[in-house]
Amino acid sequence: MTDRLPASHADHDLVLVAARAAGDVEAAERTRADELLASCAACAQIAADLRAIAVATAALPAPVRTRDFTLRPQDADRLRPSGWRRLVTAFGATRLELIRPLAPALTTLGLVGLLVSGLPLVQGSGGAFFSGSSAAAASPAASSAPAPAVAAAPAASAAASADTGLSTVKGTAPAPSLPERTVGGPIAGAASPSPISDTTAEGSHGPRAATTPPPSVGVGPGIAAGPEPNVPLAVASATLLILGLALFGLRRASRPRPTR
Amino acid sequence: MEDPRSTTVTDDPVQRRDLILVERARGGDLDAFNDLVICYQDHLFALVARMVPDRDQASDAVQEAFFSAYRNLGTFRGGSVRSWLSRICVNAAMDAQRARKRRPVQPYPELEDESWQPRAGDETDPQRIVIAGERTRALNDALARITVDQRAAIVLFDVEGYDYAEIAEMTGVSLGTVKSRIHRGRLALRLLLEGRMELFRG
Repeated sequence: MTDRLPASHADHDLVLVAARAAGDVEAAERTRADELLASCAACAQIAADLRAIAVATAALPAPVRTRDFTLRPQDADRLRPSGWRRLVTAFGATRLELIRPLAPALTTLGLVGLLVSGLPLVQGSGGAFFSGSSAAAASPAASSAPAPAVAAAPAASAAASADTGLSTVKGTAPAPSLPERTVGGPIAGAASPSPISDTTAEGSHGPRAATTPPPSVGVGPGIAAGPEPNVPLAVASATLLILGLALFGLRRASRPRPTR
Repeated sequence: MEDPRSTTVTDDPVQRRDLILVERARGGDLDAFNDLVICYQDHLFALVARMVPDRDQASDAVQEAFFSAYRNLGTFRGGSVRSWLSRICVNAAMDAQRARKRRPVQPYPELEDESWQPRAGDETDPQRIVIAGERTRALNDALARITVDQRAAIVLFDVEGYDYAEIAEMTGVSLGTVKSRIHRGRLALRLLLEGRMELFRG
């Protein structure tokens, strides 16, 4: 079944007419195009004109060249790749299809490896941030406590946090003691918070929370107690990433540039 | 191990000659490359000059295309040297057209250029010669006024005789886009030639 053709020539599909004039319509469209040409004299005239234009275009005389395009030796010297550029061009010319997917693969592996190796570090710092902020929320006065108090007795504060940290997080300890251990300065911020102490703080009514000191606490003054990043994995991932990016760069440098 | 690009076997003597010249040029033989230039410069200039209405820009584009071909000889993957050079020239012509669009210069000075006129050839009837000249002038004028993409597609299809798939590959667009550019381009030409269609209805 074909659609009803529009009555007015202005509404007729001229691209369809052009396609039919070029003999370039699908079988499904051909009937509609033929109906259009049979029923509309203006469309039929356009189709004839388009054929005439195509014939005239094909018969256009060739423009005459006005310049000689042969290369001079100095042009060749200038254009010929040398040194590392020749190596890069040779790389681009190679048909080793295996090399092509290597760049994205190595880059992806490197990125993922870096992310994975850096994840514990991110979690550690994230934990410190959250426990610090929760402590600050628990006691607004804490945030205004002076940092030097912590700096003066770092070992004492770490030991104290092992004993009383749970209860202070719950807000049962005097407010001034809290900032000295958890948010007062860099040492307290690094030493007191750990995922374990946060967990035990929430479950502080249980016996384990009350008796087991958090293992991350008391490592020593000024030493971060969070999990350490996986250094070998990070180094391997960075190497992969650099290799992948280098391959990308090499491919880009060796890509043929047809217009330059 | 032999380079796979150099092992393309072809029965076409022209293509075989071209491949030999390319191999020698790759080895640093400038004369071999210049033999290729001599073989194809007329054809390629005609192709580019139809796409780039400004004659000087067309010459510059062809020169740039040959420079590019020489620089990228190592990336030639076999097949038709003529098609490879044509593709480079089409890209150079389209780049030149886009540059012209950004930086308009004197519009279409080439329309007064006598080299666009058809050669007398076998035609002896003065009236027919005049009509043929008028038709060529009108068509070149109209071609210069349609879009760059439409002009490229029409020249490659109608004048150069490439098929839709080859044009799609050369210009980096889909088959449907090539067809659409040709059909819409011809409609645009007809619109521009509306008052002069009697020249074509012979």
